[in-house]
Amino acid sequence: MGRYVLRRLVLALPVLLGVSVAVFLMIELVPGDPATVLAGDTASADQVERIRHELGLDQPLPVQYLRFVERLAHGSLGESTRTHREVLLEIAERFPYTLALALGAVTLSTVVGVGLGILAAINRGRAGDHVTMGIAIVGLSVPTFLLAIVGIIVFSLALHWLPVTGARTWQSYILPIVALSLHSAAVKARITRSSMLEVLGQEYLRTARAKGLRERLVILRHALKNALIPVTTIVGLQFGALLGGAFIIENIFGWPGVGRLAVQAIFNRDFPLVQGTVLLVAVAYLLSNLVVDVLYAWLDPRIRYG
Amino acid sequence: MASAVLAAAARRRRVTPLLRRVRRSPPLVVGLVLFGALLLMAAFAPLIAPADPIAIQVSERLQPPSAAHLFGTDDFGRDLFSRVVWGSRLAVRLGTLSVLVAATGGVALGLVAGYYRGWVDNLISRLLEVVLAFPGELFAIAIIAVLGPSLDNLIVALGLFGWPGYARLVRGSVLSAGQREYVEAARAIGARASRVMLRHILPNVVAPVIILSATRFGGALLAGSGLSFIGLGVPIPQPEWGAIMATGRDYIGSAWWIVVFPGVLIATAVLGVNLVGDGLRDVLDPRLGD
Amino acid sequence: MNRIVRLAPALLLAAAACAAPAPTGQGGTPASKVGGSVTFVATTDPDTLDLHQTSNPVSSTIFGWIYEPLIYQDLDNTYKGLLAESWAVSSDNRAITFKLRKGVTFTDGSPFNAEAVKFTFERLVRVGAKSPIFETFKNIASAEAKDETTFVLNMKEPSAPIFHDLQTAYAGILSPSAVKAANDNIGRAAVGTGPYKLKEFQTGQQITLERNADYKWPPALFANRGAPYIQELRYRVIPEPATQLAALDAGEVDVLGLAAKDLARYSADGRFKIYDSFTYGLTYLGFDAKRPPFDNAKLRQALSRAVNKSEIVQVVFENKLAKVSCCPIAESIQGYDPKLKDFELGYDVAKAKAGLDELGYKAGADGLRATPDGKPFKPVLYTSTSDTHGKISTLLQAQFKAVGVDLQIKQLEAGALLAATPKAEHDLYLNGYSWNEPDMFSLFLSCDRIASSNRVLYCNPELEALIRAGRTELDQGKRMKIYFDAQKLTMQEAPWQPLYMPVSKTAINVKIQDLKQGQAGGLYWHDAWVKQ
Repeated sequence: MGRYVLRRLVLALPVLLGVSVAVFLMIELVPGDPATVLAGDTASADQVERIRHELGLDQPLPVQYLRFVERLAHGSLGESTRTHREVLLEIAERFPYTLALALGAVTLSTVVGVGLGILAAINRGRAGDHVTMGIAIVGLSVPTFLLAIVGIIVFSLALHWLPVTGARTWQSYILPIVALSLHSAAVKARITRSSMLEVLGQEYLRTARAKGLRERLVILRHALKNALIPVTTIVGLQFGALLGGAFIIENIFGWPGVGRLAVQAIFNRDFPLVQGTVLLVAVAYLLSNLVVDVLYAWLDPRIRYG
Repeated sequence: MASAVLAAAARRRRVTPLLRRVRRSPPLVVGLVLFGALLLMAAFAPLIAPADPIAIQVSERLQPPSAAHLFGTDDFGRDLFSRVVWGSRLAVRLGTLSVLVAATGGVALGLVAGYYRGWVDNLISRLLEVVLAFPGELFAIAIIAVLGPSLDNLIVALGLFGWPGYARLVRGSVLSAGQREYVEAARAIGARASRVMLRHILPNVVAPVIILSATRFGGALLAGSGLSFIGLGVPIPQPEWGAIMATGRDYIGSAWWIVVFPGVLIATAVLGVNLVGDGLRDVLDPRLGD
Repeated sequence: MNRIVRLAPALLLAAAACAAPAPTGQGGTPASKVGGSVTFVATTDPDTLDLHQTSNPVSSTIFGWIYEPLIYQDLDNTYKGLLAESWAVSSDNRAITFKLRKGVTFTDGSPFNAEAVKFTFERLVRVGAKSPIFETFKNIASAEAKDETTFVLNMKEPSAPIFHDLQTAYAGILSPSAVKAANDNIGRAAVGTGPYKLKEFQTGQQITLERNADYKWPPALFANRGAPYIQELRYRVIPEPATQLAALDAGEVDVLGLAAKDLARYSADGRFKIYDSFTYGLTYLGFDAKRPPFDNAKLRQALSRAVNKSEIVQVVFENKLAKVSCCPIAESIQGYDPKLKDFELGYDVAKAKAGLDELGYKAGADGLRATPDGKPFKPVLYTSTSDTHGKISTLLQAQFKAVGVDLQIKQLEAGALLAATPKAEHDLYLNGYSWNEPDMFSLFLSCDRIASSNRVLYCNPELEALIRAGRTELDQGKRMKIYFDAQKLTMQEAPWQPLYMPVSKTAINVKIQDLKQGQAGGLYWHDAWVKQ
């Protein structure tokens, strides 16, 4: 197992390299450079040129990339062109907030999604199934930003239960987490249901029903463990995606997360910061994929690694 | 005459089981009705919409729903019903084209990777991981920032990070045991690679690709409206649903209709395609069928 | 972003502790007023509090509380001393000698003196390329600290607009010892002489300022002769306008600039009082005057006639948050002259159509015009992705259509727009400026700014001569005459069609007492206190 993990980590390096080159090319395509944006709309051409030189943007692109790699080798992602602070420091300040939202949303959506999925599966074809799956598919169809706005109107403005913005108290985590969870909970409910049904099979379920309650529970528990394998994949993927930050939700709730940092960095053409956040997201994604695969092995001993 | 009748009967026999399965799947029926309504609305927008969707009529600003304006008017006095109806064209174009871009690229790469395996597969798989590891939302925002808000740029952005799903699906299916034998056999008798891929493998992955496309269509509508909502979607004054909602959120206290109608339409359209996807899975993938 | 830009000058003035109307007698002892907090909205993330390294609107608003400049601009647009007690201009107009206030200390305890002023301006010239006042300081030949309280600025050539730059928040004086202690990284270690000091900088969330208890040099006209009463000021980052409103409703913020549509609701709400103020700038429709077809002044004039400014002010601003502008210099800025209205290319559909006909832009069967060589005439308007600019563009498109011109709209995100306009990818350009000095001409309409801030690429030697004369003329009367001519010329040549001057309406929680408002609407916080 240790060897497998090591091999996967090594394989992740070319992917990260690819990501960093892709970011560099993307940056090159974006019209406007940090100097133009930093100088603002009253600046002279001189001023822009001077900032460009200060930031080393007058160098050819490959040289800029090599400098970036060189810095990276020394453990630095460079300095933000806007705040003049280490990119790692900027990200480190924001990341805990994104992590908290991601953990909260993954936990909530897994509990709710898997719960609803089980409920639907054991009530297959009956009202309980139709109602839960109806809720799930509606949940998949509602734009997240709409839910966030309705949430603010109802819980903050009408009922005064929750704060509108910020991340100062535990209450302020509720609305963003719920808004982020809706979609992933719906996805997980649907997957749990179908994989439970696959595992159980109709005959299986019928047998379980015919037997006593306790045995039915035993079978369910057994079925659940197998049914959770595909759910694990989804949890991993969703967690990886959430670690990239959810820009629209962070924007609506004024959340100090990585998503807003990254988008702001694009708007400011703060290239070291864009590069840093994208690499962070890529690392998070690759790591959560690895964790998922390891979990897989634990859940399903039939899978072996070579 | 007789042969024609016979042929028709044969055709009917062939299609009946599928049709019966369709009819027995209520989600599919509901989904097809909703999706069909969306397509009809888009096709006949000029006939359905009573007014020009971008014609400004300042004297009619912010009118609540009435007989004259079924869904009310917006902050420029434009007829909201007409805007929403014309907006369905943008939605259908966004959904269809972004799915098409993603599916074409993904299926092609998936076929190639699965067929040739070896270093080709390795290369494509790494590329796939790069795209998957890249934050998609950020990427879309960057593309729109690069090229400016437009429906086409939105389609490119959604298409570009939508292909890995298809590539994975197709690659997996080509590599699956049954397919592999089939391909080996075709190769053995000396069939050309492109022929094997297009004539023999592709038809077998059509069903899962269509199912995935239904989900993706809905996903594209949601992503597009989200980007429009933050001003990075389609250019003004086009009646994109997300963009209409973005104006409407400012008037949520005073003119609820601007947010509510396009919101309901987005949700209904996405619900429609999701139900179609679910239904198709039930119908085309008998393992899970009732 | 617009909202905070519009709000900034009012707060800035206040923070710089400008002259207010003579105080009425104050009841209650000052000690009972001390305490409480006021929360403002930051629409964008403030990036750095290093005032030489940013033009970020939120950061510059915060500078106004922490740093103080040598002078400030009074309501009647004259300059008065803040950290300077007085100043004198040499006979050749090339040197300004400032007499500095005594007994002022920075919040790190070090003394304010001529050395600190010299240090600050030298640092600005060294690292300030990102500062909006950097260009002006390139005109500085040397800065001298004659003695503890005498500071001299020597200029390469006489400069009238330098006083404007010296009163901005960007010209605040830094504590040299604090800059050295922070190893020049003062982005989060801002130390000035202002009424507030930085308490906490929570990235992406909130900046908290704390009352400077040792502050005792407010301008004479304040009743409060000592430190401010309000204990804490907070800037909470909330980018989304709908959320800002919700936060105001929920009492999470106390001060918010309103949009037209919200005005009625908050005016009726007893929890808030609405304060009006003008903005020092205006929004204009520009033509790319360098490239065909809009290098032709006749075409610019014809299309300027198609613009219905009152409709824009009515529909987008509900006649409340903007006033129609006739002339390049906004009503709120020195140099505005109502007599210039005679030269305005006012809304006149018939004249617009006649002008287009005359130039050979003939209408086809669909009512839309083609260029003289028979191609479809579809000029492209570039503007930002802001909501307001989007709405104005939508109206302009309809107004142009009424004279047969099929206007295309291209909205670009701010950075892309800044990059696109000097390259002249646009035909028309919709934007605003905010610069409380008639010398805005040299930024936005002069030849040597054509590849940068002159985004209509207009260059006219006659206007250029006027701009130069205006920069170096220190006699107010003569200077204003020059700007009258410059405006007249601009209005006739029509590289710009001025549209409107924004008006700010700010909702402020009624718990904030004794907040004073000047005639132009500036808010004065130094006497204000929070009712507990």
